[in-house]
Amino acid sequence: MDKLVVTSAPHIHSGASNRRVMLDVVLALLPAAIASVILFGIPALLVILACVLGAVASEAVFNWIVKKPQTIGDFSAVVTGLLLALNLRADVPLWQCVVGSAFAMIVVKGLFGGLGKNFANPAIAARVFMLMAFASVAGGSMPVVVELTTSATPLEILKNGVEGMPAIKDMLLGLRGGAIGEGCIVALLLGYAYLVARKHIKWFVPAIFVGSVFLCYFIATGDAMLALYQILSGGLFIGAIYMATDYVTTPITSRGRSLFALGCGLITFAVRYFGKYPEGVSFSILVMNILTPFIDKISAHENLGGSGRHRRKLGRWKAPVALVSIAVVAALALCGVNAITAPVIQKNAAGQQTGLLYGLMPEAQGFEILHSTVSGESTLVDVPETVQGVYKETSGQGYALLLSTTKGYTGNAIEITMAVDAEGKIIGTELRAYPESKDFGAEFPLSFAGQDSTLSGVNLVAGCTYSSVAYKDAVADGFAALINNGLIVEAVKSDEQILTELLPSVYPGVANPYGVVQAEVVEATGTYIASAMKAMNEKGMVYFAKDGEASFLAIVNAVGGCKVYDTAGADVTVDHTDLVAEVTAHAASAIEAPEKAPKKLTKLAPDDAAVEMIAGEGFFNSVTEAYQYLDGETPYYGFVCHPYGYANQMMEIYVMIDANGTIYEINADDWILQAEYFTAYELDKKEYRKGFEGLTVDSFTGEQALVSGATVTTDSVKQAVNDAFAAFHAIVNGGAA
Amino acid sequence: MNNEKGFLANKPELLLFLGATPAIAVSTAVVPAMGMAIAMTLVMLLTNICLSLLQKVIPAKAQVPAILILAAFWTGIVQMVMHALLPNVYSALGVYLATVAMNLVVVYEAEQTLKGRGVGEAILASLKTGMAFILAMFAIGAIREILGSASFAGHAIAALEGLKIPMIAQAPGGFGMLAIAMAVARALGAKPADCEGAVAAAIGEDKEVGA
Repeated sequence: MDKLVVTSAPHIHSGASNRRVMLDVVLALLPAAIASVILFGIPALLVILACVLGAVASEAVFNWIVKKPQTIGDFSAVVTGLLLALNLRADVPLWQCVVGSAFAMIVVKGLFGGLGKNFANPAIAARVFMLMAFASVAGGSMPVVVELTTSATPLEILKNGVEGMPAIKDMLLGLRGGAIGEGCIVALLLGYAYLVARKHIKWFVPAIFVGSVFLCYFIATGDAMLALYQILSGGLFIGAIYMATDYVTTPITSRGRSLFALGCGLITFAVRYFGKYPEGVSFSILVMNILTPFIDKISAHENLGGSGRHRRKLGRWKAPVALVSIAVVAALALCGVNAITAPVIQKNAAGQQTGLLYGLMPEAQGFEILHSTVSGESTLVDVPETVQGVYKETSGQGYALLLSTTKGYTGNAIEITMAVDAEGKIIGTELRAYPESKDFGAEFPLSFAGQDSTLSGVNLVAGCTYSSVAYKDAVADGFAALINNGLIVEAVKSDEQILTELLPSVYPGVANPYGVVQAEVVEATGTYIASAMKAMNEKGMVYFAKDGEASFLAIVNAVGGCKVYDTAGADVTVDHTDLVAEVTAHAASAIEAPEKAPKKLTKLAPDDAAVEMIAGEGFFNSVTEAYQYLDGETPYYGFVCHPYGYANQMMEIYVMIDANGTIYEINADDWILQAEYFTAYELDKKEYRKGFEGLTVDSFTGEQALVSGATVTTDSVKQAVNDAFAAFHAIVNGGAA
Repeated sequence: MNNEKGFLANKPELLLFLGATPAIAVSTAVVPAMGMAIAMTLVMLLTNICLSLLQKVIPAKAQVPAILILAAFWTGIVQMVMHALLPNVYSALGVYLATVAMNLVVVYEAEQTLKGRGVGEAILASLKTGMAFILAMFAIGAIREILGSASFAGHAIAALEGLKIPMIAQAPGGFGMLAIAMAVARALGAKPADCEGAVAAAIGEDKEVGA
């Protein structure tokens, strides 16, 4: 005899079983599934099969493992798999379909207790999971039955307006890109009609969802066509009809379901309209799934004869309302106070910085902020980025500036204070923060005192070039800020300064790899000579000369070659023979002309070759001497180069090039062992030298010379070799041979 | 809030300890210590005024969040005003100023207020506790600054330069001071449910050391 089973109410059964309902849903989905196979072909069929089989298998395996009664017969796994498949694109890898289905059945449904216990629609959760896990799910694929001009999905097109959208008729039939099952609106509506007729879903739920998206778009844009396209695009219909109506994860009452659908519509609109993702249907349903218990609570039917329902209702709301009100008032008050205090705080911060300025201007009465990156206020224009603050001394003593540059050796900020008097001369500069590994000494910042905006008297610090260049550039930026705003008058560069700046480009041989001239002033007078400098490597002379009002730059190399430039940078050697004669004569006495080729160079040539010096004007680069070696009839060309290496060390490099322009051999005086890094790297000198043999001007890229860790030194070797090639080609191709 | 006295009522040492711990970080000198104490008193006073006015509309369920929201709100206001008016004190207090919002002394007083204090009562109670805290912080800050840094309110005391004990100005010294304060508080029989134990402790301490 059967046991008497006592259960709680309700006892009225609608006659619908899970299996019956699920079969109806599958039937309702069939039109869309068939349409997807027609539109997208066999790949769509494979996706559907993979998802459905994956879902059924996952549920079966899960039930078997956790020893629950087998539930695959209720068709709910088929529904989930089919729904998921219809929401994917045709080219999703099949293994991802299986993983997605397994996620839906095991994680979303099984782990929460199976059918009826899951908090979210498994197909939706799995789709969102796949969207985040696999990039291949995003966007859509294209139907194969028609040729489409664009590969963008309608939602992607709509981001830029209705231009380029398919016709409404095509949109209804699904002739557009997207997930396989979402496109054919007609098929989806057939399923909708069937489900409503069978009383499985409330007709108004999808209607409210779709309608609210339409209304929101219409209100937001005022464009009915755009709103219509919006609802026909993406997965809105399939989501609204099959997912937002799920029994388990949507509210119980009609009122609740209406609220649910409205929430879905608003969130979908918000994601599409404001968000980064083109589609928001999945997200909206998932979010509303999670809110369902809450909706159930607030939309529950009142108990029959519910006395005191009004009071209870109020009580439920009191705590959140009180807290939210307090929070809102507090937030508004905070905003208000912040609006008052923020400017004061900024002013304070900028004012605090003025404290830094008194160090250079101890007599200052006070400072007025003209520009401050801290407080964001500025009355100036065209202020270089380096300049953090410009302050005017209130009694008219001048200006103080805060500078910060990251162009130093390590790239860390070098912070500088600078004071300029009203005439535009530097009162002083001060280093506030100096994170560089090497220090340029206390003297350098002091050397700026008394300089005008040309900074002509500032010498960079050897061995700390990057940082001292950065420092000087920052000070120049400070001047630029003052000059650009008419606060001081730009100082005019002297002729000598213009010519000094010209020097590294016309005579690279006297400059180090940073372009800083390496020469010392020597005594010299004459009819034209105003002043003279001798290159540190003693291989050249530089003269500043005057002829009447005009100033000239004259350069003389070790073998007596001479060139004269005017302040415009033009080569005017031929017009000034007297000047050339004077400086050449002076140079001959000041620097020692080579008497014969260095032994080390001669050793590179074939034995017993006849040596002849090539006198030339062409060598104002690092090549200081050139020789021709005749081995019988075959000529070889030897070059002595004097580039500057690490820490301005003078180097002597010998390059022997044969008649074909190929490096025969290369050597250096003491190699470049002065460079500390070289020993540290235990460079094999023989190997290094061999690496150059046989290179031509075309095959020498410079890479052959470079040694990591000794970049500056080996860069100079590279420079020397390049210069030797240049000299060789000048000689051979009818140069100064 | 079934417990008549509140959950901290019978644990004055714990209350003192938890309430003062963030203060230890800033009591290395008199000025920041006073800044912290005054900020805390202000937050406590304003929070309690608000709570006494709002207690009718705050349901029992929402008391703790309401206290935290209001305390955080007033802390934010005090922070901004301090930043604007006393930038040096503000930067000396650093992140610790924000911890006032969670200070258990503030929360404890707020809880008491929600049990039915009127506005006047709330103001009096807050000021009482606040003054106690200010005095305690002044004492601890002064001792730590004098002994640890040989200065007072930033002015160096040359005579003590050779006698200073830097550790007292550091974190271990702070906890040591706190421990001494608690011991003295207990010896003086500090009564629960008010924070005067802390004052008694600190003042007693001050006299001993100063003598």
